[in-house]
Amino acid sequence: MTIVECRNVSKEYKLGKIIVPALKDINLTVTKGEFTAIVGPSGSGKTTLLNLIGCLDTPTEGEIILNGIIVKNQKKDQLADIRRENIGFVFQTFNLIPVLTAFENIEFVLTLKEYDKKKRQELTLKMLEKVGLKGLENRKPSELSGGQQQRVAIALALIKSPTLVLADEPTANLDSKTGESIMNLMRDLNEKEGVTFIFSTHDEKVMKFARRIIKLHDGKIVDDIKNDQEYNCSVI
Amino acid sequence: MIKNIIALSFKNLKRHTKRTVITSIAIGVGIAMLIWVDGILKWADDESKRNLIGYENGNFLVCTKEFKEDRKNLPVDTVISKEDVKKLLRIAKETSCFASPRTGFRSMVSFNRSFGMPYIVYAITPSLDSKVFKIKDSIVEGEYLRDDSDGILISSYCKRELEVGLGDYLTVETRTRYNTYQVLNLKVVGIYETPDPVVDRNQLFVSSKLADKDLQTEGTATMVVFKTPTEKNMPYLNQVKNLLKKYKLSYLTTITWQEMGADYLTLSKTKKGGSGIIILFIFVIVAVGIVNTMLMAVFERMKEIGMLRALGMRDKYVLWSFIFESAGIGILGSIIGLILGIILNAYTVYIGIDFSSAMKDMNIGYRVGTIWYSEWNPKMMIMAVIFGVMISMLVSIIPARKAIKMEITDTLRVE
Repeated sequence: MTIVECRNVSKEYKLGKIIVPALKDINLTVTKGEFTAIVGPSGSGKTTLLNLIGCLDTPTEGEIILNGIIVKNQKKDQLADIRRENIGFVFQTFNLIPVLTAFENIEFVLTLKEYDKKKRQELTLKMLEKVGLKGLENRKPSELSGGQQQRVAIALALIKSPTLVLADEPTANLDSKTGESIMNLMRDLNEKEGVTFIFSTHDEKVMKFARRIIKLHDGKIVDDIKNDQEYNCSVI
Repeated sequence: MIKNIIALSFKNLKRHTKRTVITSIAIGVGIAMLIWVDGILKWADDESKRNLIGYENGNFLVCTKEFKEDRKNLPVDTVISKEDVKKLLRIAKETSCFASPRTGFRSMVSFNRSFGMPYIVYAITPSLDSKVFKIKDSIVEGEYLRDDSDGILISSYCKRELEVGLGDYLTVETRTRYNTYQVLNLKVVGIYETPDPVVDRNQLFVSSKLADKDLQTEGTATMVVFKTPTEKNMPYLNQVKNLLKKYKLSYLTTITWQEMGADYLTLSKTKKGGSGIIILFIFVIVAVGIVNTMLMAVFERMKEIGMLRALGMRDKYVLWSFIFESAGIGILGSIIGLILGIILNAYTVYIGIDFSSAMKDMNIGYRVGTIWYSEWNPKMMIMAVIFGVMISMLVSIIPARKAIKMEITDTLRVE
C-alpha cells in the first residue's frame, strides 16, 4: 500500500534575489511498513524532502500524495489536520515542551486529537513503557538525558498511531551508543508494529539500520537501493 | 481542547516567574492608579455637588429675570418685593421645601486701615438661612448670626487674610440697593469654616434686619434660595414654577444649582476626559508590558511553536495559547492592582491627603476643601480588573500572530 508518492517534486528557496534550488524533480514512492533512510551530504535536500512529505512545506513544482490525499491544494488548517492524523515527527533537537513532564508531553498530542482523559492516560502509560521510559513519566525534559528525551520525542510521534513517522537526523545530537539504542527502538517499532519510518541521516552507522536507502545529491535522487545487510535488532 | 490549552498557558507562566511578576506588577500599578484616582475624582465630584447645594446655591433659587441675566454681577437694583418674598416663603411651605431670601452686596472689606479685600456680603435671615444652608453647622469660633444681629459672620479664610479676630470691627464699603455709597463698621460675631472654598474665600454674612436698615433692602431680596426635601430637584422645581404662575409672579424665574455651578460642571466633564487619559495611560503600560513579555516568549519558544504546529495543532489554538498566557498575566496584574488600589483608596477614604500648603489660595473649580478624600467605587474596581485582563488578551494578539505567521520549517530551524 502506497503511503507517500512524490511526483516530479521540486523546491526552490528565494534568498534575496537569488533562487536556490533545494530539490529537483523528485519521484519517489514509499509503501506501508518501510524503514527508509534518506542519506546524503549537508545541503543535499534531506530535510527539505522530509518537510515536504510531512506537509510542513509545499513544493514549488510537482505534487505529493499522502495516504491518497493530494497535499498541494490543502489549506493551512487542512494541512494541520493531515499532520495531526497521519504523521509523527522526530527532530534532532527533540523540541519537547519544557514545562510539561514526559507524560504530559506525550499526553498533549492526544489532547490535540481530543481523546478523553482516561484513554489519554492509558495510551500514554503504554507508550512510555514501549519506549522504555517507565518510571520517568514525571520528569521534565531538563531532568532527562538526551537519549531519554529522544525516546519521549519518539513516543510523541507514535502515540497517535500515525501512518508515517518522519525523523530528521534523530541521532545527530546523541552519542553513538545512545544513537544506536534509538535506532534499535525505531526499527523494533517498525518490525513489531508495522510503523512506516522515513529518516534522514548522513551517519553511515545509522544508514545500516535502514532497509531502503535513498541517496540525495544536490537535490536529486542519485540512488535508491535495498539494504540487504543483515542487522540484528537488539532487545529494547 | 481549550481547557488543555489554558492549562498549558498557565504552566508557561511559570517559566520565567520573575518576568511574569514584574509585568504583572507594572499592570497592577496602572490598575491601582486607575482605582485610586477614580475614587478621589468621584469623591471630589460628589463632594462638590454636596457643597454646591449645601453651602453655595441650594437646590435652586428664584430671582427676577433681569437678575438671572446679570447674575455674575449680583445686581441689587432688581429685587423681589417684600410681599413677593413672603409669597415665595409660602410657596416653599406648600411644596415642603425650605427657602431663604438672600441679597448679595459686592463689598470691599478691610480691618485696621489695611487695604480692602473684595467679598460678597450676603444679607440673610439667619433662622431661615440655617434651614437651607449648612453655614450654621460650620461655626468654628463665636456664634452664628441671630435674626436681629448687628454683627458680621466671617470665614476663617477672611480671618487669616485680614488678620482679624472675634470682636474686632471690620470696615465694609459697599453700595446700597439704591446705589448710594455706604460704609459700615461691623463687629465680628462668628467665624465659620466650610469645605467649600468658594464660600470661604468670597462670602461674609450679615442679618437682613441690618441690611433692611443700613443697605436699604427694606424686606426685599435679590433671590430666594430653595432647598428640596429630597435630592431630586425637578419635581419640586416644576411645582415651584407652577406656583409662580398661580401667584402671578411671572417676572420671576428660577436658576438651578447646575446652572449656578456651571464652572464646576464643565470641570466634571473634563474629569471624565481625565479618566480617559488615565485609562489610555494604563493601556500603554499594559500594552508595552504584555507585548514585550509575549514577544520574548514567542522568540524563546519558536522551536516549540514549530513542534506544536508540526504535531497538527491548528494556528488558532497556538494563537489562543499565547492569548491565555497574557490573560494569566492580566489576571495576576489585576489582582495586584485591585489589592494595591484598595489599600491606597482606603488610606484616602479614612485619612485623606492634605493639600493645604499647595491649595491654600488655589481655585481648581472643585468645591472641596484642602484635605482630599476618596470614595469607594466598586463598579470601577470591577471594570478595572476586566479592563486589565481584556487589554492583556487583546495586545497579546500582536506577538502571537508573529508566532503563527512564520513558516513551520523556519521556526524549527531557529537556534
